[in-house]
Amino acid sequence: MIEEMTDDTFDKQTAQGVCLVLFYKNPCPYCQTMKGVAEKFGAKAPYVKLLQINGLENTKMAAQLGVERFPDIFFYKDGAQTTARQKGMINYQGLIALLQTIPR
Amino acid sequence: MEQYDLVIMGGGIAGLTAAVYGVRAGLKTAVLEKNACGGLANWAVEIENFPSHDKIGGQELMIRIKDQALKLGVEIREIVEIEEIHLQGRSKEIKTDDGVLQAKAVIVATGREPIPLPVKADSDHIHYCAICDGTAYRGKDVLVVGGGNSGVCDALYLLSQGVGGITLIEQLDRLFAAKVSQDALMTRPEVKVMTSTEVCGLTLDGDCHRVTLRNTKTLACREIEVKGIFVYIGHIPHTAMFKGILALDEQGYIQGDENMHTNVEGVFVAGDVRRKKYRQLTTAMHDGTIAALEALEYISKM
Repeated sequence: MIEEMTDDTFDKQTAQGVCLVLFYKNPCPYCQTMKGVAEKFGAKAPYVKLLQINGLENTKMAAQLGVERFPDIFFYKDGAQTTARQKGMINYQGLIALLQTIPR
Repeated sequence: MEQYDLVIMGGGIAGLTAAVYGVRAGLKTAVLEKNACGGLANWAVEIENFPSHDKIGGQELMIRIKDQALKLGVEIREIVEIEEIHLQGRSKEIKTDDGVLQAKAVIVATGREPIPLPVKADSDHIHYCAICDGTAYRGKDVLVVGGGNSGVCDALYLLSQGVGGITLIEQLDRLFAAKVSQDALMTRPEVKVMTSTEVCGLTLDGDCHRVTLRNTKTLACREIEVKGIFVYIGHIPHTAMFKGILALDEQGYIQGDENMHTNVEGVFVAGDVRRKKYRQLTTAMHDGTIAALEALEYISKM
């Protein structure tokens, strides 16, 4: 299950553990697909927290992270942004490969 | 292995329409979709020719149809990869990365995907969806390739998102979009339209794309600089997995008769993937309806 985030809750919700952060907008067919991909990825990697944030309504974090297009996917660990990032669509196997670049 | 009466491959409007009819006829029905349901309609910013709505967003329309199918009891599986298909015989088998489904009848409604830009370039800035990627180009110049409804309507959408300037090119000597859309585009001073023009070269210089455009009549070339390229030059059918199994035409579309029967008993076809003249939401619904009713009749005679 993907949890919703806002600019105000971002830091708190990404503070612990490994998190997948999905920036989306509405409407956005790729984003709709990406939410399903994230859920499927989450079933394969249940220790990862799944988070999503509307990038057009939460402009502070979108600007801070340089989000220009959607979907845009980040991985956080214990509150810190990692180098694992995907701009645009990716399948769940690709997310698993990205996850494997992050020390557990 | 999970048993169904009807398995529909593809969750666009043809597939979901077939699903609604199938489940209402009492068939245990599943829809398999590679992405999120909705098909090409998802990419339409605004649909103005669907009877019942003056205008409606493509994604909104498809979410409504999907919700209706779910409420009726259709099992919809999204983000599913199909690994193997066995369509001969009385029991069809579809192996996915989520398990194996067995069905008495199958409807193929796998749709189409955009034709890529025919120029190789290692760029993250070549797009096929203005809704998803347009916001990245606020205040910047872009190239739109394709003068049909998709290209012209998405150009108008890009303008609404604050894109700086648009060069729209069409390979043939005129635009093919609905007149009302063409007229709306032509009034915009930020837009330059070039017909009889195609892309023949592309180089990257940082985030700047130097695109070489060629006039198809005079062969004269010119170069423009843009930050992004949006491509709308047609579609190709999703039929690779059916080669050697279903009869395909020379362009890869599935050959089906007026009742959506393919050359394989118990396998029906619906929507854009079918060989036909007109591909619209309403014609896809027509196909889906007939395919489901024919599947029902086929199953009842088994």
